[in-house]
Amino acid sequence: MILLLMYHQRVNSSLTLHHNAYFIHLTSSYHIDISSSHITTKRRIKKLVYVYLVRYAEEQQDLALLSISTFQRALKVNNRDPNQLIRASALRVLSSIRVPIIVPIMMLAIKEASADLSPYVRKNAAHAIQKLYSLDPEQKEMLIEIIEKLLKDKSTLVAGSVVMAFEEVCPDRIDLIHKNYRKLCNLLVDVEEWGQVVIIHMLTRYARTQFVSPWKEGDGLEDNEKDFYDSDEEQKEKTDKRKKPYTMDPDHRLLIRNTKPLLQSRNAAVVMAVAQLYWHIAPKSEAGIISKSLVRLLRSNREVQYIVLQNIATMSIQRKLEILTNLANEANISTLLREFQVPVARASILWLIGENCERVPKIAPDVLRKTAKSFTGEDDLVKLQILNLGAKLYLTNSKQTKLLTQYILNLGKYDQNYDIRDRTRFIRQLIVPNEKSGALSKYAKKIFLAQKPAPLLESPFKGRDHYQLGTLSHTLNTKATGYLELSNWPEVAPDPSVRNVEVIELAKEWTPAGKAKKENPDKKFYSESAEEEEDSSESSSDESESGSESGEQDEEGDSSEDSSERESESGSESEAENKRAAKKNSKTKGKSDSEDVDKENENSKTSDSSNAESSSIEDSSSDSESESESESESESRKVTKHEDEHA
Amino acid sequence: MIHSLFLINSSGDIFLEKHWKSVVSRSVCDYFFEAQERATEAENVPPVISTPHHYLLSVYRHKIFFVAVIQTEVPPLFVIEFLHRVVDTFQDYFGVCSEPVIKDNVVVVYEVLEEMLDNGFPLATESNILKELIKPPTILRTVVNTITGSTNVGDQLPTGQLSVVPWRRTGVKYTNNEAYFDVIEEIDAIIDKSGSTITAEIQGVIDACVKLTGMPDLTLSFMNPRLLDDVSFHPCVRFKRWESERILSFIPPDGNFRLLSYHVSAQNLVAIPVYVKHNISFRDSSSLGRFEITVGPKQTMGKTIEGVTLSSQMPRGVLNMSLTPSQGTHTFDPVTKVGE
Repeated sequence: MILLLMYHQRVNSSLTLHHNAYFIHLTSSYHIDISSSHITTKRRIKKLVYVYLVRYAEEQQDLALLSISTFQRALKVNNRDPNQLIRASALRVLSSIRVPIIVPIMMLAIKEASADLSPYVRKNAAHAIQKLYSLDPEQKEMLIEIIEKLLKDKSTLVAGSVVMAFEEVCPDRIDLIHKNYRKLCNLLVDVEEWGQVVIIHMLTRYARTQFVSPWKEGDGLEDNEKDFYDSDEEQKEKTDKRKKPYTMDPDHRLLIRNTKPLLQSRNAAVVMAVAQLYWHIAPKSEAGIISKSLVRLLRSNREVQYIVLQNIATMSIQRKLEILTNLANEANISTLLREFQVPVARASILWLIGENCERVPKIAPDVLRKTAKSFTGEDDLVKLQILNLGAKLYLTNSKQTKLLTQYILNLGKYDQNYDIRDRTRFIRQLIVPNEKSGALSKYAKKIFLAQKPAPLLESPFKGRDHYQLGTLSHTLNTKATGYLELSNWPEVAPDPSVRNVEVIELAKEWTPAGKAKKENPDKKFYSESAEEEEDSSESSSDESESGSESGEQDEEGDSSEDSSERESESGSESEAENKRAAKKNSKTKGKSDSEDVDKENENSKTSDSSNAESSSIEDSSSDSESESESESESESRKVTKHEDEHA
Repeated sequence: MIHSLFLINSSGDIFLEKHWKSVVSRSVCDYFFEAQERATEAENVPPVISTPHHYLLSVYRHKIFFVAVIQTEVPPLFVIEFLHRVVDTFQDYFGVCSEPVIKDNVVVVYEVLEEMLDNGFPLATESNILKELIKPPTILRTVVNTITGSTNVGDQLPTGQLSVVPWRRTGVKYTNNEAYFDVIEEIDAIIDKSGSTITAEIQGVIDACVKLTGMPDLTLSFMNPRLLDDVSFHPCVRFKRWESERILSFIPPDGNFRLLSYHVSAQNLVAIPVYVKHNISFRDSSSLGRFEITVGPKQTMGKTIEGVTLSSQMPRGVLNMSLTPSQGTHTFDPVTKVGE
């Protein structure tokens, strides 16, 4: 501590050692031989002084002010310290001192640092922006200028930090992102993990405001159900038709493509971020790949499990994902149950199984058996879910589970918790056939197995779905401070040409498409010019060139019949069009197949025109198809070219 | 993002606190203690607790609660992953992460925390870089430091922080260039009475210890990459090559690191190198039973198996077990009813 004191004298402060835990620890563990002390500029001492200053600056403003000159000297342009690390740490400390008087000094330092040659110093400048903002929000305007400048930075080190600053200071200034969007997408894999999380979240919000929704209207229903209800004829049409009026903006596709590798990251936060991006942004049929990674996350420690499961539960409420089939792997379940320790996690797994017990007929009784054994030791929340599961299984699979369910009900009858006893009694009356309760038991099945459960089965997981997945607000089911809403899809896509950057040649190719997209109303039946990305024409006979590499394909279950019914009108407004485009079947295809699909598109176009589409299509639409075909030749060349680029 | 960090031990004492922005008083931990009391076991404390002005996110490891205080919206997994990273870093530095060890090395702990977060935002979390900035304490070093008055802080500048390859510093030199890769697997299997496997699942990690000079670029290929069902990588691995050719191409960090973790699913059944045969019989009148287990190597492809431990959980009714192994030692713990 003597050394520390001596250094302080250097900065001309008259300190008295404060007695607090921190210092006591420091003094007791820092056994320095006094004889070896010398005035030192050793980094460690400096660091400790920095830490001390930061801790006490607010309380001892004079002290802090006196020390500032040292840091300023390190940063000054003319005489700056040649070592970038020292510049960076000087900046760090300067910005960490929370004394309002030095705001202009800080601002100056940050400005200079953001132009520094070293990316590390620029990174620290980005961090410093946030600190300054929290100290003095009045400086917002000037800070935004600096952020704008740093956003243009090409270095990966800086990218994560500046996006963090952006989110904090001016998250609504989406316009700053436009020019840097593509660069950010491409840099994403190289940014460090924490930066990746922040950038992905920001891009999710961005994409929701900029791109048209890739979801079809009929997405809520299961694919198999739809298949079942469609007549044969319609099914055949669906498989024949391989066209999509909706085309995905290539920038949209870029985002989805570039984040896919991050699903393999070792960092659970990154995987979750990508998962929520896919959930909110990607076409629904493409979002399935996240399920595997999410299940992988479940194997790690309990806190991660807790959060991931909550998110999975929300996803499952909205639509049945393959997550369940992944989860419902027989060997898996036993290990999963064993590993899940947090009661909320266990409860959510049980609820998931209960909701889908028809889908997992082999496993559900087994799960019930296991949990029945441990029933008395479980947490209340879990007990409730076990009861629910038992009830549902009893109704669907009475043969196997009757005794089990009765066993559980018996246990529940004598439980200490009133809620459980109550629920047990209630369930028993409902499902066990009995003269007295005859009237209700008929409806028991309906009540328990309803898709959207009646209030009595209100799960704790409902209601979270209006929060963005993977956020704190979602976990707590309340809005946290600083929560930024995920906006809804726009009706019309805003002009994508704002994302163009003149320098790159690639951009030039996209410019025409950007403009073309705007001229919707008149040209909807004609495949738009220069690019594979055409306007989404509503007529189902139109086969849009698959947008860039997406090559989105119609899959059988999709509501192409909806589309055919819907868009026979001509001359619809572009807005309405895009809306329908938004709701339409988006083709989903693996990227590797996109090229084949494109070729198929070309070929099947001709065949399609010859087929009378669905009965509801008027003749006018078939005209449009032949027209679009003529242009398709020129397009096909561009398609392949573009494909090659992206291969 | 992360405002402060509190370390709380199992008896409820806050033995370390660190603030990155303004100081948050300890009273915020009262909400945490409340939740702790309500939970039946330590593991059941909810990881996310909300209080009137803050949110508490916690992880529980090595019998210590690491409680982070945050004030605004942040992806909770971000904080939780970060806390786990902190714990891993401490373990890396001190060998074991426990309360007395942390208390002994408070200064290093503070320094590390200071480097890892800048105003609450993660700054340097790679263990390579941290180790360069703040050398881990060893007995020799502590002695030397005390005698000469020098410090743990490296005078060298961590160039790794500054390059595009943030996990490796430049100027590494070794006389012997070596690289070791450990494949550590955990198999969950269900085996039937005759000893044949019904289903099995493998969770594996590949840990590496790389001591190579300069900036080596390594390529690792597997004989049968299709087996690897679900893989997650260290950030150094180039994903594109894995996607296209199933080859790992990477510039490794210096020293020890986890290269990848994988999962082999039940469909790709791989032969398990041991077989297990068991036999249980009870004698009618007496309260004695007989439980026989035979374990032997099978299909080991010529390698020997070392260090076999057999541990069997007995049901609560078992009072005592007398064990006779054909080889090796045995113990029985009457408290946990585990025989080994």
